Amino acid sequence: MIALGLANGKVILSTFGTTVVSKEFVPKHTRQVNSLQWNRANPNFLAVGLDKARSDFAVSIWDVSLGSKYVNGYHSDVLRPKIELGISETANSVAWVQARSLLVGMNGKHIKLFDLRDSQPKLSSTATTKAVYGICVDNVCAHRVASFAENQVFVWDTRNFEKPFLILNHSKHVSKLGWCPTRAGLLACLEKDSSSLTLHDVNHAVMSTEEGEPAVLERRLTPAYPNELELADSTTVLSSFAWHPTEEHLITTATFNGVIWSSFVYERLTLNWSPTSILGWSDGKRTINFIDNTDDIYTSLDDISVKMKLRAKNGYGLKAQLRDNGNIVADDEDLKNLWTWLDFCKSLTEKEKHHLPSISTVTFPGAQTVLKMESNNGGGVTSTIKSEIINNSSFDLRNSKTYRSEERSFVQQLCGWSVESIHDLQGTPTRKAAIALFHLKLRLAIKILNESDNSIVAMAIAGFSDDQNSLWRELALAKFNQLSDPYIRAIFAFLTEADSNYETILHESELTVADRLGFACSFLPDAKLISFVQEISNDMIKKGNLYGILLTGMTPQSIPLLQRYLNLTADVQSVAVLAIRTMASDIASSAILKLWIERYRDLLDSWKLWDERAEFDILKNRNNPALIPQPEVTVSCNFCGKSISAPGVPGIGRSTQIFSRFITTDVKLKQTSCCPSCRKPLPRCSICLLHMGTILGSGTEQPVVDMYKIGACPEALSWYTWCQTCRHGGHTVHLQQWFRTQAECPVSGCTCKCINLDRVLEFPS
Amino acid sequence: MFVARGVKTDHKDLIHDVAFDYYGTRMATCSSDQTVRVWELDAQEGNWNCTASWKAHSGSVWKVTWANPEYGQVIATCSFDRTAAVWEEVVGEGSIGDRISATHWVKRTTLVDSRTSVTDVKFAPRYLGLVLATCSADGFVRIYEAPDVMNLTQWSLQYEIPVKLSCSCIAWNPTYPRHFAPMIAVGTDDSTVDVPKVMIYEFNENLRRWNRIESLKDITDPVNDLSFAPNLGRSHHLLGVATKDLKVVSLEPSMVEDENQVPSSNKVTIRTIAQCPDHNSTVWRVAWNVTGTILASSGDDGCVRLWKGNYMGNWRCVSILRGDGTQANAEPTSAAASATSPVGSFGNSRFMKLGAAAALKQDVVWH
Repeated sequence: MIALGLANGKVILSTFGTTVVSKEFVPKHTRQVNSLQWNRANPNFLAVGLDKARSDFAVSIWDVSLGSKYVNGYHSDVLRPKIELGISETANSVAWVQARSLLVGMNGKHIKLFDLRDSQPKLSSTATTKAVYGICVDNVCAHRVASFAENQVFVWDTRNFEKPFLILNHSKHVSKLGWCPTRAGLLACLEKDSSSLTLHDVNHAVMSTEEGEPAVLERRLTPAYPNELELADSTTVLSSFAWHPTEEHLITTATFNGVIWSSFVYERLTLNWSPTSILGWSDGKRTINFIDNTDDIYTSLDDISVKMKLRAKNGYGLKAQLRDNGNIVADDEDLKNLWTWLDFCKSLTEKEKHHLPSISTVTFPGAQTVLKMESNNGGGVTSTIKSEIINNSSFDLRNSKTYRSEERSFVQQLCGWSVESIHDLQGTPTRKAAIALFHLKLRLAIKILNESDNSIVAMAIAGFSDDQNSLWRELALAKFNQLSDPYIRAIFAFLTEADSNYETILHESELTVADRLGFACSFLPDAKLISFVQEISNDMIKKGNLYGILLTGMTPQSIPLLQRYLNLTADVQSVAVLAIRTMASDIASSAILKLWIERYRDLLDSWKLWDERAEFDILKNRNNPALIPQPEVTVSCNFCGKSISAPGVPGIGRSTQIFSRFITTDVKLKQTSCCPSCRKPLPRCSICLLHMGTILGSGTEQPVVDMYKIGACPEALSWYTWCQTCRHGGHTVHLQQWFRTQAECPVSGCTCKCINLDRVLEFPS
Repeated sequence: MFVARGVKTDHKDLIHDVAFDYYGTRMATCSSDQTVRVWELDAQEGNWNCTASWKAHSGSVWKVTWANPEYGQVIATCSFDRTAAVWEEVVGEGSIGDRISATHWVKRTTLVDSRTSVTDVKFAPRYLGLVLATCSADGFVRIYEAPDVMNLTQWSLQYEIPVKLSCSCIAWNPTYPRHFAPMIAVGTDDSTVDVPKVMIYEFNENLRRWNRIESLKDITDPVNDLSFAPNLGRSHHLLGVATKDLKVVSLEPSMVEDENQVPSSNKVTIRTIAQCPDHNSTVWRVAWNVTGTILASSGDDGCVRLWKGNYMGNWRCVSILRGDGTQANAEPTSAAASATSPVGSFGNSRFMKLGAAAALKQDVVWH
């Protein structure tokens, strides 16, 4: 049932469906109805606020359940309001406060709170203000009331009604207010000529009583209309809005051109992402949701960090054989091939080192190094390479001029080309055929094609004719671009090549870099070869393509390429392990390499892969003893203050980290139970009271069982250890047994809570 | 249907921030109920157990952040009550069998320089020492340092940077020594039109002061959150910005050292590389994964969206998760299409049934 207030003072009750007026309330004097409100607690009561009329009441409260039937436009008897208030006054707005109190904004000057529990209404408090319009009460928190005047919104506390506890200024005139019925302290506010609502969260304002700072969180809500409505900007001005009384956070807005749209007002969600791939977000209430890399939904994200963590756990980059590292990244073809190639390159270089001066100092040379390419000052590239020209008169190809040099053939070997073993080549039969042809073995190429299911192609090639004007050539030129196999295309391009530039083959992007480079090494003259290599490596660097390593080698020239690869993939792991495995000598001079290594170590640390990090460090510093840190801890004698490590060999790998490494069972170390300098006895174990360095009899102690579970080595149990705070200590195994049941130090009179001082973070299981 | 694991936090009010520690095995949450809670991950079960909870402030706690573990178990909080605080976990009395409750959190310091709500607090990258940056609604960024890492009660206000606009969020660029100068980005929620809302400050080692080196001119709407991607040795920095929509900004320092210039005044090339309006509403928070390859954002549409950039540098929404932990399966465009069918019409008005409106949770929009 809806109540409608008319300009003539009538209030009409109506319902949806039929447009029959079911009831009509008429004041004595005709004037405008300013405000209407149903009582929520007692749905029969309707409060009506009216304009001023001489000797009539401004507020009337009707009980709609009373009264008689409405017949033929007339009431059978005259209805009387149940309660009337404010004679000769204006009621600008009315609002119920719970069941039995009514707030009335009066005469543009006051807000009055009436208590209606008695039959005689009682004025309980008054506030003097111009903000008498649009009074509304927060249903969640009934003493909180808002009203507005012009462009200011006042928020009141009815328990302390003298002055508003909050004044919110708006840039435009306010036309409607409404508290969210499902959330405390959320006030929606509509300005005139505005296409959005302002929402104020006044919860915080309660506390800031001292200074007049605005302590209100403000949000704006603009209804998101679907595109289909195609509203012009001018038509989205909102006319009104209403909160849904029970549905959480639902607000309905209406525009002047009659579009009604419902929107949800969500609480703001917070979220964060942990280094271990846990994503947590709040639900706007009190729950936090989590997903991590074990969830299917996370798998679909294809997070490189999950991959890197798994690879790190499998020992990626730490395998002695370079090739084996490729197996760990078998899911990434490019990386796998790179490791295989590096392995191959290393052994090849070992073999050929002595023949070729250009690679004698490099372990992983690329084409640029082999061909002695050097950038000159002008930005160009020069090379001192000299090649001999061979005219292959035996072969009936017209363009049979090839080039040869030690360097060229080495690069071809790097590319995986070898003359002897075309059949052992990897790849499709068409690749084999193409490479056979590029070695000027036309018959072999045809044979290979015939053996595979490309006999039609073989037949076509067999018809090869060197005649510039032959029909074969004409047809081949016209058609070979439509072939799908890049190697067959290359075969035809080679056979129909007219001017020995081979542009089509060299820029055939579907051929691998290796094959194009191998081809160039045979058929391009020196200058052209150099510029081709330069061009193609620039292209690879731009794309961050790892196959470009073939050109740059693992030399400082490859850093821009790896940087680009890293920018694209964030795979800091691969670049870091490549750096330590293949560019160890360059690390010291390259800040970028150091940065990559540091970042990868940091990642490993945050994943608690400390063992892997340590192995990584060992590999990193293997060739550089200067980087190995000095012994960090020495134990000095209580009496003479000298180190108790064996004299004469000061601190060589004897005591490291927190454990002083005294393996009591190892007789070779000749542990002594007294200071080597002054011969005074060493400290005693606080449990067994034997001196440090005394040989423990075997089998005297049962080690703590759970130490085995976490995989600690039994030898470490007999190391001597101590509390850093009270500096009492003993054998690890003894102390562990003690602290299983005790929190305090075993030394009599010492109250140190040794075991609680250092909380060790759990090891990853 | 997929539902994420939910953890009831027992916070009495809205949760404002969630922070994970360096190892991702501890978590801190803070809330409008003025409390902070610390959680520990049970490695076997995958559950989060609350190990500590205390009233930290006398107002809503906006943000919480962990220090690097090399400085101990330390968190910092900031609040509406105009303060920021530093807390340290210490060993207390307690028996050995009761290991978890044997520790408790002690307030080490209260930073009271702000005259208004402190809106964000972040620890600096660890190589800078134990350094804390706060920003506040009065338009200042304050950099504090604990000169003695053994004594967290002493914090000195090192720098006070006037931003002049009400600050809402701050982010350190996780740079590394000798590569880039320390850098922070500050976002403001000021609603002045056509004023840049993200400022980049860089520390000048020679002058020993923070200089504003850039303002992101593309971003003129109020900014709610900022986050630099973890730097994995990329040649550029990535900054995620939560504003009217989600933006990803790349900051590329020029690596060429010009001899004539002051060394630290590096030129930075700034480029907005992604602008994602899919939330169709104000974006509230952003967070990167550890490699800086996936960006998560939450918006006023009540959804969390995950974004990924491809080789071409195009950023695309790869997943949508609802606030209640379910996965939103429908693509936003199709959802909008199904939502428009008007249920009834009165004159030229259109009405929607509640049920139909409820199906369109994604279409809500805040500005």
